[in-house]
Amino acid sequence: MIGPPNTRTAAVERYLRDLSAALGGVRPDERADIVASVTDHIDSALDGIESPTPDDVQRVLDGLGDPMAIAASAARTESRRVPVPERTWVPAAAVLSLLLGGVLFFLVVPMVLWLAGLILLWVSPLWRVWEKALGTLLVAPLGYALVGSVFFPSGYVESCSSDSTGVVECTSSGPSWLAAALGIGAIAGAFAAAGYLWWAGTRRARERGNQFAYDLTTDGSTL
Amino acid sequence: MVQGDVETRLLTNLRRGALEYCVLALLRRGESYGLDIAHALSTDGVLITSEGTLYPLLSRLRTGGLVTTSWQESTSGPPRRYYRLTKDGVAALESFERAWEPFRDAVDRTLNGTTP
Repeated sequence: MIGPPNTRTAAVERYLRDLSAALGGVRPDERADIVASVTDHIDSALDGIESPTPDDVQRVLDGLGDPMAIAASAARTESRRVPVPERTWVPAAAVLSLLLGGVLFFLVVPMVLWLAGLILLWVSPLWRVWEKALGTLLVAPLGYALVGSVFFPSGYVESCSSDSTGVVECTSSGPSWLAAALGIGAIAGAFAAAGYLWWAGTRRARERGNQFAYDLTTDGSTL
Repeated sequence: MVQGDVETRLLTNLRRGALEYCVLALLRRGESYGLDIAHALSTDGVLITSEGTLYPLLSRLRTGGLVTTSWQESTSGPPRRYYRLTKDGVAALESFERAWEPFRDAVDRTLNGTTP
């Protein structure tokens, strides 16, 4: 069409409006880019015609096709992002929350932190169910309860004996080797489990990130 | 599902892997208007069904840095949009070409029953 854009026909304006509306779900900058390109396409096509008739205009619009089909094509190549629970920072966040929260579990703030870590652990698809159970049980108050049982007075082995007069006398003789071994085992187990969960989770999150990158480029879209 | 729907879905999935590289290949011949790319692709109706579906793809190629675009004044009428390959676009196309021939041949051989 010879002349400035404001001589576009009503049909063209309506088509462009329909296109913009159909592209409603697309990012605004991308939507604007597509509409600008299509506008250019229409202007260029009609520019080649001496005096475009309404039939000429309709032919160009028909060639472009249904705005809904263009929007469908845009949706297919929409950039996809890794869902939040699968991102690479999740394993570190979950494991640290569980560890730190578990240490001071008897205080409120760490308890909330531990719960947050637990929720993240279970919600995230990065771990198998048995791994989540491992995290819940080992990287958890359990480990610290066992530790606590070693170092708190009630954990001390008491030997009590009663003498002939019926008086019971108890003496503490320090933590039993069994309780100490259990405590150390629990700490080691907690850290081993935490390390495993961190390593496995981070490795899987990276794989998913790579898979998303691959999918995106073969779709013609990008990160 | 109607047979036509099945084939449409199939074509859509096949296009997904190759169509952007066809666009890049057309641009390798030289910078072009969107209109010219659209016409070239739509001649047989196989690569794209309607010309408009080219533009979301071009938008993505731009975002991905494989294509750049500029508006240039034309002697008559409004400014027109040119598209051009970037170095990354050339590299991507060459990667695709290296992968495409063996892939195409392998599929053909398997379909024709001539796989050893």
